[in-house]
Amino acid sequence: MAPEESHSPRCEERKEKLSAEPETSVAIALGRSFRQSRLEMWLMLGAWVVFFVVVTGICGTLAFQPVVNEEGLIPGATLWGMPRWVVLGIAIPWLAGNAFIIWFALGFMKDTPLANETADSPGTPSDR
Amino acid sequence: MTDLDFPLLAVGEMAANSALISFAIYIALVFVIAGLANRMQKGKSFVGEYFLGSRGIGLWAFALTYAATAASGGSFMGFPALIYTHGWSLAWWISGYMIVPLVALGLFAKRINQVGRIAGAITVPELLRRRFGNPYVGYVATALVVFFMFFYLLAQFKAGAEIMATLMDGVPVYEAATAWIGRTTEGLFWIGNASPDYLLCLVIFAVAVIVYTAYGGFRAVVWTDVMQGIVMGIGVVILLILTLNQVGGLQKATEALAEMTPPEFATAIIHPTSDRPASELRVGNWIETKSGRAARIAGDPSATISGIPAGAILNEVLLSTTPSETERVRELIEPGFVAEMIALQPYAHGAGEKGVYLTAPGPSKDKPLGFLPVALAMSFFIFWNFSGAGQPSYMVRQMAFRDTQVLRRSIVLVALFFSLIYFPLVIIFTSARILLPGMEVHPDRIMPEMAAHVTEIAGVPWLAGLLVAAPFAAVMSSVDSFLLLVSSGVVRDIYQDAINPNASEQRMRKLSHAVTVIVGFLAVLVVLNPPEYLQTLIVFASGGLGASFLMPVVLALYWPRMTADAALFGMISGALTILALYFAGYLLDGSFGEYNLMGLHPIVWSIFVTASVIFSVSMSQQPPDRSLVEKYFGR
Repeated sequence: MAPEESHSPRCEERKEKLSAEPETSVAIALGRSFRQSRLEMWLMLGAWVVFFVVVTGICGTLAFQPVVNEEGLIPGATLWGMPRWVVLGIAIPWLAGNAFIIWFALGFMKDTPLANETADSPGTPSDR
Repeated sequence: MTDLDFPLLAVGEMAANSALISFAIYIALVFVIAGLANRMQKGKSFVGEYFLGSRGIGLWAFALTYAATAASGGSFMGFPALIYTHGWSLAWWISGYMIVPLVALGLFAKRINQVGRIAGAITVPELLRRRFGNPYVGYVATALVVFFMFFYLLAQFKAGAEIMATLMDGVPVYEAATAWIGRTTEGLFWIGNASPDYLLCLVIFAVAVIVYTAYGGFRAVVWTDVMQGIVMGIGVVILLILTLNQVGGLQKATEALAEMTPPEFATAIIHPTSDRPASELRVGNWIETKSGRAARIAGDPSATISGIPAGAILNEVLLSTTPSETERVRELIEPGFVAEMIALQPYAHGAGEKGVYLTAPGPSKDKPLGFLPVALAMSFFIFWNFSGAGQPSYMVRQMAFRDTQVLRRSIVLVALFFSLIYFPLVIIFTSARILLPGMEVHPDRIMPEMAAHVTEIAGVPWLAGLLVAAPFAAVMSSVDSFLLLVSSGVVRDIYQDAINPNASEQRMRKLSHAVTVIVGFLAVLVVLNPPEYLQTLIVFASGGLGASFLMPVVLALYWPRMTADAALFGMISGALTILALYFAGYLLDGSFGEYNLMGLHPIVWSIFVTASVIFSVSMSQQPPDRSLVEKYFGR
């Protein structure tokens, strides 16, 4: 179970700092729930960049190399019965991706109370 | 036989009958689910329940409805066809899915659900309208959803009808019904132009989906998605096991694939060598060439070749260039004819190269740089993650889960589901090249053909029904979602918001049912004679939605400083970027298709354009209303 969020002096300090921002910015106290979601988003985007670089780097290097010669498959061109570049550049990163996703979703993401419907409830006319 | 002892059989009658029985059971279950969902609507706010399941979707339902909607007909029709045609390079092409569950759900789900609840929004346009307090943001969003999503509907209806036609092929009742429809509709305006088997399947498929979607609403769509997701998962696992068993393991399959070279398309002159009339030849038949190789008649499989006189020219013939493949199909060659090959067209990339199916960029019939150059591979890693995330059909699901615990566990489930589906599909359909040679004549049929083939060989033809139900389930789960999305746009965002804000529950109920039926009916009418570039339209619609909604929604959820005008211009600029790059593609190639500027897919450019527009417009204006920002960012 992910840990619940808690108030902290740093949070209060941050709120005050944001409230003091000039009028050119939105200058409001950002809620804890929002800041937690934003942190998760940045980590997720960072993870995407890492996987993108790893997959592109390995496949871009290995996937274009010839795998056959006059005698057939070049020794070492396959791994686990698949082309070597597929295992190193895709299968293993895919497994690592799953491991990261499990950690992220079950270990890092926090349970946040979702808001009750404070505006119009579904089925009623909207605020225009 | 060859040194590779892979059996080669035709689809049997038992497989056809079992497919029919499986299909009947499947449809019956779908209607039972719709009935139960309809009963759940009683005592709840109609619109909230009908379009969003009262925001009470639990773990399995949320995970599988998300995954099943993502795995549309393309995953089980177009994707296998690409793997078959271009080989292992498709593993790189699809590799972005390793991180899609994290990006697509992590980027939006928690925030969009929270903002949706604060706003009391049921649809994505409504959420944007309330977030910015500006009705025009909602109207533009609705217009874009309805416009792009309608193309999606067309494509999925066509895919559903085609899969069903394959499923029913050879069933006596179906053949009789097709013949009757052919006689009845002959000469009728518009309808008469559709082939009878396609027309019959389209009508059955459309009626089934429209009825259960209109009757059961969002909850029926979600529950049927769960069933469809389970069917897909089980189907792929069984197909993987049977395929690997029949090719003698992955290593042996890879070794066989390494020896293969791409086929050549050609024009052929048919010469009889016996009294057998050429009119007996059909599309898909194998014939021997003068040089002793094997060639397969290509073209539209629904068409028959009749009355071919001696010396007739066939414009589309596929010539096998791999000796072991020629040996394998020798037992299927139609006796009594010999083909003289003229005007051979080797592949633009990979012709005569052994091992080309094991490496990137993969063979290509018409692209000299191959199927997947590096820049395009990078584009697809971006495309799957961010275009997928930007689809309103996924966003609306993310507004419906019950709590964040459901979300966290669902991310894991979806990741496991995608791993179970996409990577095994690459293994299955690279092996399919070995089991079923010459399917380049109609690669879209490779999935049902493989299902029928491997189950027949394994002595379990009744299982074909379940395997073929997987792509059918994938199409159905996408059609129902898109149908509901379009109707919610019309009913909630246009009628209730702009025309009659005080509409009663009863009126909204009747209108929702009616609009769902009408939208479905219109899509069927258009797709009776589908546009030529339908597959391209799918990519166009998907790219258009991603371009229009990805950055505007991400920034609406995470950037308090974003203004309503920025949202408006962001959506419009995203849509215009896609339209412009498709128009450029049309001007340069003379056919409908995207223009990959600097080798990058239009969605990549649209992300840059929309982000730039949103930042520029927002920063050039006064900050948005403080109370509005506090409402959505102050928690």
